[in-house]
Amino acid sequence: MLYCIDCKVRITGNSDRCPLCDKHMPGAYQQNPEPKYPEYIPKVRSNRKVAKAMFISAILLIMLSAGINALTWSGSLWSVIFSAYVLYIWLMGLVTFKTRVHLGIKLVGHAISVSVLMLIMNVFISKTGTLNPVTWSVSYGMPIVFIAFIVAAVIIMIKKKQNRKDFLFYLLCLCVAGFVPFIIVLCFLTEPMLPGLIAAAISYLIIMGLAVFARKAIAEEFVKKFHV
Amino acid sequence: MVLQLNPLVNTKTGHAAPKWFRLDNAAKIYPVVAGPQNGHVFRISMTLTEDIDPKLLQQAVFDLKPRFPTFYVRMRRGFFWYYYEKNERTLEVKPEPPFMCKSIDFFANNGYQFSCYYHKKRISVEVFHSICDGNGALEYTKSLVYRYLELKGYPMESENMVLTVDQSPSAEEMEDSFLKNYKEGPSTRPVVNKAYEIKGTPFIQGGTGVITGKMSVEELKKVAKDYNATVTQFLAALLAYSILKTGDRKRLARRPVNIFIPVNMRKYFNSKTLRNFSLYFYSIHKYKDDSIEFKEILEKTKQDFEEKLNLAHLLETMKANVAAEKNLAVRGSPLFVKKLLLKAGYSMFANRLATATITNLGNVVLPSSMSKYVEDVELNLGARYKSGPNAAVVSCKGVASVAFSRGIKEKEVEKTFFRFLSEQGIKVEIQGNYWEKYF
Repeated sequence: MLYCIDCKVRITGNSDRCPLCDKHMPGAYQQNPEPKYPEYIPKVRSNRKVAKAMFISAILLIMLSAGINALTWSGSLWSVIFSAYVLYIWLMGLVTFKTRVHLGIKLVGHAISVSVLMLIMNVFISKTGTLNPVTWSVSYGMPIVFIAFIVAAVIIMIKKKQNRKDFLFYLLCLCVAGFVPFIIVLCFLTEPMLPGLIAAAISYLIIMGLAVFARKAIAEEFVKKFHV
Repeated sequence: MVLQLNPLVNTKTGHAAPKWFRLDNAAKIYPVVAGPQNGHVFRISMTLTEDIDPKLLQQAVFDLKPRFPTFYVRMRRGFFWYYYEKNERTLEVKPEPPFMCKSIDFFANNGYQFSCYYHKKRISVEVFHSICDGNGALEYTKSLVYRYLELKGYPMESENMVLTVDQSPSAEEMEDSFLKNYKEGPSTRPVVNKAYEIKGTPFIQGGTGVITGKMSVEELKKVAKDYNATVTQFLAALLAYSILKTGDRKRLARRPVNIFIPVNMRKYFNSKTLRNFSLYFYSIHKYKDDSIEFKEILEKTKQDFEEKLNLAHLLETMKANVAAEKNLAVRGSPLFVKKLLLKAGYSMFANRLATATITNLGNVVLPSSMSKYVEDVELNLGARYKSGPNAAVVSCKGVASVAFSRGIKEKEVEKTFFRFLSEQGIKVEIQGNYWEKYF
């Protein structure tokens, strides 16, 4: 075993330096061939570069569209819609691939953000600049989005038997949100009502199904989620 | 790899354990403040007499699942608090990474709050502080190594020193001992001023620089006795002395050196919990001038131990901590609000109260059938990014291990610390991970 004269300590491991004073001690490897700790091998992290490139591209695109919109002004704020698209695609990539939250949270988040995005587009496309009673986003877009996400959640629950209980709460959230388009349609008496009604009916049926077949599991989930 | 539960394992225990747990009082802070710069992770490792067989280690980890229900959990987010839920996935054992006590990537770790590693003859368990403290982790590590040796085919006898797979977990092991032993009443949290901070060159990509000194327990006890102190008092005083000797004079004149000392509360309340049940106190040292005498520092440390290491003082801290958790406004606030406030409070105040930590896990006693296969035991604390050294002490089979973990390149404190020990006639054996050579 090696001995550092300055620190008056014995040294183990295969380095040729004293860990305390860095004094060089030749021949260390021959005496202690085994390293005490694993060697560090640097890794190239390409994911971070991709994320940075995506972020910079998104910002550049938004600035470019705003610039072109201002220079070729024709009374329409089309760059806002374009920016919303770009931001959403960037956020979608970030939330879906980078953040490590539960898939259920991602589903609920995407359903809500897609709906909000459609509303924004609808508002800016509308000539009056306000929410038009005959909006395609509320009549068609939102019901279709919620139905799609509810179906996706149900398919995941069927496929992932082990984690089925985890999705109960998020499915319930999606079902509650599934009533929103129908409520908006009723409030503004927008036509057609059918897609909103179908989304609300599907949500109602699933909630009833959960209440009959998974009441205990839902109650448990609520106790856990809302314990004070 | 498909794992099957060994017939020896008591599977009934799975039903006895609750399906979910509230986080204990101490655990609540960690998920909020943990991050890449400070993962609040510590490691307990045991070096055996032969190379580790990863397949058997994987089986041992799997077999312990019903015995340690509070370990095999995943953290879920509630509306008001986080909670722990039984984890149905498999905890995979992995080769030991060079980055010690790195913030645990729960997603990559199948949701588990602890990791199990092997490196040559060493089995290491890295634990996120939220699920247990050092004593809980030590019990788990002992059981893991015991089970591993059983699977190797060695005749083992637990002698009631190790929790084994044929036992059921008791309710006492799963309890929140803070809530059980807390007594309501007005509390005054001891006031601690902001501490002197050891500054240095950070490791660019983070990581923990480790320097471990091993020495004879007898020699260490003898020297401590010569100074009329316990081993913990002696080492805590030596840490403070090393910081005062090597620190920046101007900044030392402004702020005290606060040594954070965790205390195992189990002995005070006869608790058997495997979750967190530790409190803490500070040994506070003010810098006067360059003529620093170790004896003077030791006297102040002994005085702090006498005043603060008693049930009355520790109960005050416990009362204040539990009262904060039970406060209606706190309980009723949504988790994201709590996170915001706790994070801000922690980074502005709590994080700046300690200059360094020294924890002593004590002597690890192993059954004789197991002891002959175990060479030594080590405890390592995680290091915060840019932070100075923290020390962890544990002894086994007559050898004391003092392991320093730091987030900076400079190691003046460790050098002064171990040189002082060798000047006292203690034969010290040093090993390090030379982290500074990588960054």
